[in-house]
Amino acid sequence: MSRFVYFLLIINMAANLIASGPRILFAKSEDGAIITMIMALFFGVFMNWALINSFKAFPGKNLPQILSTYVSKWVSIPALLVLGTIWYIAGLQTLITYIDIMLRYLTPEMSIYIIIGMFVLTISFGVIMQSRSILYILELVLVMLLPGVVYYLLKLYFEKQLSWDQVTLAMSYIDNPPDYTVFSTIAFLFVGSFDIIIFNSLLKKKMVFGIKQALIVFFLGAFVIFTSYFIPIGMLGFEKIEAVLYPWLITSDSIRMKFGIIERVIFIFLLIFLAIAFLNIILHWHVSFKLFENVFGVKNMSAGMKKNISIGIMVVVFWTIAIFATLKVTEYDLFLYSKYYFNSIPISFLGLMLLMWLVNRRAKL
Amino acid sequence: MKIGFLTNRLILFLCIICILLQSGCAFKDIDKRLFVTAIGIDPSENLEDGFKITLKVALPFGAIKESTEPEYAYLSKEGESIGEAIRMLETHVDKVLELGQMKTIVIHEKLLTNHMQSFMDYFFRRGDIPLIAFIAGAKPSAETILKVEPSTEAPASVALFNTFGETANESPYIVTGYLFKLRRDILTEGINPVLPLVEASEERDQLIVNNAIVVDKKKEPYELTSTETKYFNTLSDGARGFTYHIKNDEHRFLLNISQHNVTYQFVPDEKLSTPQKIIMHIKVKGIIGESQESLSLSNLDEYNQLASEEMEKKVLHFLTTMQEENLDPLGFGLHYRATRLHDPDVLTTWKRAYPDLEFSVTVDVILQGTGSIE
Repeated sequence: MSRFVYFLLIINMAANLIASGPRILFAKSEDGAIITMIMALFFGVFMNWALINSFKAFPGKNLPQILSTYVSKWVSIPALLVLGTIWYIAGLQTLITYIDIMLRYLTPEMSIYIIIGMFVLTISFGVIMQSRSILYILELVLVMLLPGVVYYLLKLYFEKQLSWDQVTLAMSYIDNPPDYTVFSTIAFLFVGSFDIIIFNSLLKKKMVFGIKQALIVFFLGAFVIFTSYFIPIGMLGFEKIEAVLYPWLITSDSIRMKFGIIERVIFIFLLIFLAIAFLNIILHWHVSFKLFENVFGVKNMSAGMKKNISIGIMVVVFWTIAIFATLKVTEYDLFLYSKYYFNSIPISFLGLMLLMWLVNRRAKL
Repeated sequence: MKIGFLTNRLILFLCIICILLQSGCAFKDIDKRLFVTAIGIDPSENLEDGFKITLKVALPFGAIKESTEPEYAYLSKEGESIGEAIRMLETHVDKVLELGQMKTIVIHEKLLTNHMQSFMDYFFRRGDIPLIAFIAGAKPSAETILKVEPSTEAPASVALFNTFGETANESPYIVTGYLFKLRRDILTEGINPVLPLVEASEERDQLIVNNAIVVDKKKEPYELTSTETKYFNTLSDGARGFTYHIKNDEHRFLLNISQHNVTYQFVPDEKLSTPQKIIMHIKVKGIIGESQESLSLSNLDEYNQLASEEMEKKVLHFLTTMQEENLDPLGFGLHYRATRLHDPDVLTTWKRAYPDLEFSVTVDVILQGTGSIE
C-alpha cells in the first residue's frame, strides 16, 4: 500500500474524533458499544482489504476512468452521482461541526457568516487544486502536526487525573448485544482510504494488501477507537457522558499543562484538529468535485472560458449548499442526520464493492 | 487539469478580501476587558434558593515594577441563578467581564450538597471557563475568602492559583479539586468528591488550606481533619514529600516519605456474592526527618517495624472513620463496580456491603537512612 493511503486513513480517523462520531458511540455506551466496536474493527480492516484488492488490477487509474472503460453510461453516471453525494456530505458534516466549534470556543464574538466565508473560500481553493498538490499538502501537514499530536497523546495517556476505574467500568458493559449504528459509525472511521477512488490515478505502483498491511490498519484502528472512546470516559466519567455535546473538546479542556505557556491544552487541540478538519474537508470535497466533474462532463471539456465557468458554477453550488446547511442545521439535526449518514455507509460500501467486482470480472474476460 | 490564469487570480483576490473582512476576528482589546480571577458563591441572604455571587477582578496597572501589591475590585450581586447574577454584574462595570482566566471557584460550605449539580451546570456550559478551574469550599463564606489579600501575594499573581496549582505549593495537606473532576465524581455512584476547604485567618491576612471536605449527595458535607486530609492524599496517590509523626514510648521521630505505592483488593465471602474484606497494601520509602534522640543505622529494621505499625493504625483509623460516615472518598465502590461485569445488582450489593466491610492494612516502610545525622 502506498504511504498516501495510510495518510488518507489517518486523517479521516483523526477528523472524526471531534465530529459526531464519539457522541453516537457514547449514546450507546450502555447498549453494546464495546462488542460492536470490536466487530466493526475487523469489518474496517476487511473494507480496506476489499478496496485495495478491487483496485489492484488498475494501477494508475481512478474510478471514473475504470467505469468509463468497462461499464455503460447508464451504470456509471448514477453510481458516480451517488458516490459524489456521499463524499460531499462527509465533508459537509465535518464543516458544520467545526464551524459550530469555532463559534463556541475560539471566536464567540465573530459573525457566523464571516466564519463560513473564511472556511468555504479557502476550502474551495483547495477543492479545485490538482490532486497531486493535495496529496503533497496532506503529507506536509501531517509531518508538521506530528510533534503536536504525539505530545497531545502522551499528555492524554499520562494524565494523572485520568481515572482508569471509569474506563474499566465502561468496559464492564461488554456483554450487551451489538448495535448497528455503532457498527456503521466505527466503519466510517475506516473509509478514509476510499479517497483513492480518485487519487488512484496518481498511485502508479501496484498495491498489495497482505498480512503486514492488515496488521497496520488493525492496530491503527484499534488505537484510534480505544482512544476516542475510553479517554473521554476516563476524564469525564462514564455516567452522563452521552449528555456532553463535544466530548473531545471537554476532555482536552480537562487536561492541564502545569508548566506550559498556556495552561489549557484545549488550544493545542483546537489548533491541531482545525488543520486536520480543514484538510479532511478539502480531501472529501475534492473527491466529490472530481466525481461530479465526470458526471457532468466538465472533465472532457477543452480548456477555455466555458470550462472555467462550469467549474465556477460547481464551486458556487458547493458553497451555497454548505452555507444553507450550516445556517439551518441545529445540533440535534446534525446528530440525527450524521446517524442516518453513518448508517448508510456499510450499504454504500457493499454497493461500491459489487460494482468493482463487476468491473474486475469484465476486465478479466 | 489546468485552471485558467484568471480564475486563479480571482480566487487569490477573494482569499485576500476574506482576510480583510476579519477585522481582527471581532477581537476586543485587552484594555476593554476585566479579568475575573475567582468566583465566590454564597447562599443568598434575601432570596430563597438564590445565590450571592462575588467576583474578584484583577485591576490592570502600568508596570509590575511600579506596583507594590496586587489590586483587586470586588463585585457582588444576588440572583436566582449564577448566570443571571453574572449577567447583571456585567452592567455594573464599563468593560467586558472576561472569564477565560477565571481559575478558582470558591463555594460556601453549606452549598456543597445535592443541589450543587444545578449551579455547576452553568460553568460547564460556558465554553470560556476552563474545566481545569480549581474548586474549593469556603469557611466562613466565599465572599470573605475572596476578599482576603494575603500579605505574601505578589503583584500580578493570585494566591489561590499558587495554593492549588501544584507549581508553587505542594503540601500534603492540600487537596486540589478540579471542576471537571467534581462533575465526574458527583455523577458517579461509588465515589465521593473531595474538595479543599479554604479558611481565612483571624486577621484576614492569610488563607489557610489544610482541611478538606467530603461531599455527599444526600447529606451535609463531612469535614476532614488535617491529619485525615493528609492520609486521604497519601491513599489517593500522587502526593509525595509527606511527613509522618511516629511516636511510642521509646522513640519519637518524623518520617519524610519520598515514594509510596497503594494497592488493594476485595475479598469476597464464601458464597462469592458479596465483598467482605478489603486488603490494602501500602509500600512506603523514605528517610527520618527529625528525631528526639540519636538513632543508629543498625537499628533501621526496628524503626521500619515501628513506623509500619504506627502508619497501619492511622490508615485504618481513617478508613473506618469514612466507613462509619458511609462516605467513600477513595472510590472503593467505583473500583468494585469496575472490576465486575455489569449488572444492576452490583451497586446494590456494594451499598449493602460497604458499612460492614472489614479492612486489613499492611504497611511496608522501607527507611533508606536516618537522615544526614545519626
